[in-house]
Amino acid sequence: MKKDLILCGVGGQGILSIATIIGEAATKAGLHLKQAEVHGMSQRGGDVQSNLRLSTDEIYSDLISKGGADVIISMEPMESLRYLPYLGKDGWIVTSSKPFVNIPNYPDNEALQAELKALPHVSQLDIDAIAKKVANPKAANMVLLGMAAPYIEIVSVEQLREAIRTVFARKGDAIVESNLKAFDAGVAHK
Amino acid sequence: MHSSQNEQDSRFYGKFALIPILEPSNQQEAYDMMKVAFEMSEKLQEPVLLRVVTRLAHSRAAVEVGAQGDENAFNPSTGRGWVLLPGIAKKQYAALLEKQPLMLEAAENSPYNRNEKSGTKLGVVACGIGYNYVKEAIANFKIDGINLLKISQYPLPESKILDLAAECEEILVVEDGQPVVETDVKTIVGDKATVIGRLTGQLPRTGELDPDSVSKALGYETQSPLGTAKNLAGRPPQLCQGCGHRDVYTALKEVAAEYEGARIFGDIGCYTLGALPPFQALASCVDMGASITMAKGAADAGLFPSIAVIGDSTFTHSGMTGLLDAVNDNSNITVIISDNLTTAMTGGQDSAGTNKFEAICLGLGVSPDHVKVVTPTPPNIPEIKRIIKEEIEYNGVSVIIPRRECMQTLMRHRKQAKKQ
Repeated sequence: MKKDLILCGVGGQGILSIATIIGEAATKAGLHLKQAEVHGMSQRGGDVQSNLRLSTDEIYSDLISKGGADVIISMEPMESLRYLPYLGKDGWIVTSSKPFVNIPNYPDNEALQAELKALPHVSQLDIDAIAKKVANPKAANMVLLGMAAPYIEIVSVEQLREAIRTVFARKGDAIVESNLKAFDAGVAHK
Repeated sequence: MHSSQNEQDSRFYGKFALIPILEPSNQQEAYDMMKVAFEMSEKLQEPVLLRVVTRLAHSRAAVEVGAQGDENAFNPSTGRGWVLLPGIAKKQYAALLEKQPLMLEAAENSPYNRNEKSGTKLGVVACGIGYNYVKEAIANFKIDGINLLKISQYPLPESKILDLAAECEEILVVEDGQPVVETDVKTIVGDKATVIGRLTGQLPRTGELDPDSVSKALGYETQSPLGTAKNLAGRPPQLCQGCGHRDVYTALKEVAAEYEGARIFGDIGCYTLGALPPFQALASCVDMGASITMAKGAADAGLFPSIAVIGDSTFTHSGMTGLLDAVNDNSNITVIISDNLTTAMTGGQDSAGTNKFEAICLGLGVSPDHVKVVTPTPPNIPEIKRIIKEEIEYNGVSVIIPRRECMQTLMRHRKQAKKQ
């Protein structure tokens, strides 16, 4: 089995933490993994993405081919569309529904929503609102990871939960628990 | 290629210096090759170049690590090999040439240069990471009939390439960067085979390789079944909200607008983003320190006002020599050292000159009356504008140092303080 994931968003939204958690779960499960990313000025509000490839067999390319991604996991709706050429025909877009507008020419939200809704497999949620309600606003990326968890398949929801415990362990029990709550709220959204 | 002026393939340097090059195709090889490179270097008593391309540098995977060896004995040279006077250097060069057959033999027998063959329809020479994209395409499209020669150690193993040319009429060279190997393979095989690649258009001449371009070169096109989105806009990186560089550019742009033909020469750091909207303030950004040297050259050629913007760590990296030159020639420039007390763009490392900039500028000979420190905040913009204008009007070298901590490190420091 192999799963190709594209994680994306705006610099500073926490996509690399999502990659770290999936990576931890995959490593523990003994899977092959490759993660390519752009960084550098990634804290500066530009678009950021990471290609994460997981497989039971050897992985060659660090980059995902056009039409090869199984899931696009996005912290921002327009950013999810940026990588559409890479999504496979049965692939899923799992995204936050809330636009992050820091550019003057951000597209019209209704047109953006219409385009997203016309795609076959899209899961959207206002992850900021959910994170605020069940945990804290900073855990929005864990809500998103929870939403994506059922589609990642190659690592189970429980394995991802365990990876959250490991990755956040050094920050203390309270942080682990609030991230798990956010993650579970994401999983519950179908 | 992310931010160099052009591709600048480091394999040219290996050829130029007549030393071996190792070019890993994946993370495990990058790890293993470092050990091989040190051993080879000890054996040959020559440097060995390890070439890492953009994608390998920006990607990660798990690697199996080996046992750590003992540290080499500290063994400083006692001979005259490091005294490169002409008489010695000539002998060294002859000795280096004598080592070339050893390097070639090592490459011919290297486990990193190996043949994987499922036919002879097409010969493929795949260098470094190019090998991964070829393997990916072969697996994706179940391609048969490829005679694949993986190259990860140089000088090029000529006999392996001639073997390939004896079996295949056409050879595709897949390499990241410039067509270095493609040119060499052409020379090696002569008219025994047709060589194709970046130079002949099967692969794009610019940009890094990816699985799509390599599949296409092998005759199989990847598809985007869901097409391309319409509701998209570019989202370039921006200076952080609250960043001091923003206040510097706001003031500087307003003052520069008062002069016809004013030019602001930029440098390398977060503040290079001043070239993009909303500021669009910079006329240049070339290499570290070039803001000052280009401003000096422009001023000497008659440009006024000629303004340089350089960050604190770039200034200590290679701005100081240019400033000394400007002082010596009494060039009419205004230098802004935008000091955020850190090396911000690479993640907030310490900056070598923190707390020393006034002393450095005075030591280099800038007049004490024309070294000014300001705090870049929105309320101070009128004062900063006044000072910039005064220093532009001064005929000679002035340095203005706007100083305020980077927002990223400030937030980090506040968080740490809260914990304690």
